[in-house]
Amino acid sequence: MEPLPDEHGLIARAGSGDKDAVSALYEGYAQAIFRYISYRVESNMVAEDLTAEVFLRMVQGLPRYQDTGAPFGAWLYRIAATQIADHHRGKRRIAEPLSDNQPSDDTDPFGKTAKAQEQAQLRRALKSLSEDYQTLLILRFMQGLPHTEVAAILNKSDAAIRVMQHRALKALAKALGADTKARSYLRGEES
Amino acid sequence: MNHSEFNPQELDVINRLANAPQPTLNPAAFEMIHAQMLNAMDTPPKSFRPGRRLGSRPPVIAAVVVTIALVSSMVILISISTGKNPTPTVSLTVMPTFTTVPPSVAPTGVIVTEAATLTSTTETTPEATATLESVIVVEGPVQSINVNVITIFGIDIALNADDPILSVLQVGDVLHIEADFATDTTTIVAVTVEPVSNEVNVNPSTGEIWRDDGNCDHLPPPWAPANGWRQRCAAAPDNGSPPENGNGMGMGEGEGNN
Repeated sequence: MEPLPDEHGLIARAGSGDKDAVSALYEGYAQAIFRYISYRVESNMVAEDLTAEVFLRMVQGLPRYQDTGAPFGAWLYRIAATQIADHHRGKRRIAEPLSDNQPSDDTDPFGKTAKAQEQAQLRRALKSLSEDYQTLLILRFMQGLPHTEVAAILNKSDAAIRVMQHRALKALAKALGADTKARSYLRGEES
Repeated sequence: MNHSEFNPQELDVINRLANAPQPTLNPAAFEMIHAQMLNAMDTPPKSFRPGRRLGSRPPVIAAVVVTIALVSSMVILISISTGKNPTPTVSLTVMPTFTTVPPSVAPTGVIVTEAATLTSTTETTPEATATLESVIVVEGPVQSINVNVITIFGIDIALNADDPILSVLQVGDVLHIEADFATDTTTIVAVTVEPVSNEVNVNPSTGEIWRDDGNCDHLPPPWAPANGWRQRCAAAPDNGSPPENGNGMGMGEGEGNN
């Protein structure tokens, strides 16, 4: 994603405790971080909790943050990836929710259902991939981040990301195909 | 994004990802997180407060290490002074080396037992100055008795000629003796003599001695612990002493009267 206007100034002010600057960074990155997390965890409610954790850690880490010129978003995505990993480690003891827990909305219920199903299917398919593949696919193709930024987030070279994305796409296609086939079978459809 | 680098199957997946539902943080959650974040700025967590970092721990660790070393040396010295070691414990040069002493653990009131070396060469800070006594500690069985000189582990120790313990002392009695060199000779003179074996008892007030020689007619005085005398002798028909208690514990367990 594009850096915020005067992002370096915002980071410096936020690091020294300027609440307006912190708010500006939050408003600039909150939705992107939430979307990334929402495809990596089982529900949007969990994604909200983890998004809150990410920004709390941002506040705690900002005084020590060293602006090296790397995208600020990369730092936030790395924090998010750590939170997601921690969540999955702790989640093994907790049963997964039966529903997606999306807030109910009476407008266009069929469209909502279709979207929810699509999101759920993508989540399942992504979940079967490695963490790096998931991050790469979400950031590169859902959020449209350039290779360089994804490379910075995954701590890999630009060339490595270019190679990796082909493998990740192939793996996701396979996972989606297997998921579609399985669901058709469960519905009694001929393959 | 340059799509020419992807094959049709990859492009299908890319399109699906690009058109995937984009969930958004609902306004209530957005505001709540915002408020939590700003609140956290006012109350930083403990882990980020100054004084909790690892950098402040080395002095504490150093103090703990010094304390452990100090306690260890004290334990060693105390074990020497109490003579738990069955071998002769004539410590000739025990030099405490309190080089670093944290103020909170200054060993005030600690008596360091040093033997046979009257010139102390301790490197102590003023807080660590300890009271030194020149004492030889010997604990073991008496090998021989010659008037007031007894021999333990081949070491001759002169007891005070009026010491009442001499009247009951026998070869084989185990004594704990703290002694010193006589001022003008190399003779070791006992300062305190304490029987270790149960058979000999000294009244701490009067110095009176009672020895349990196994004879049931030789009743223990009221101040002396019976040490099994009553258990052993309660069954004796002619001693005239009633059993100490009525539980029958002493019946038949003794080795008989002499």
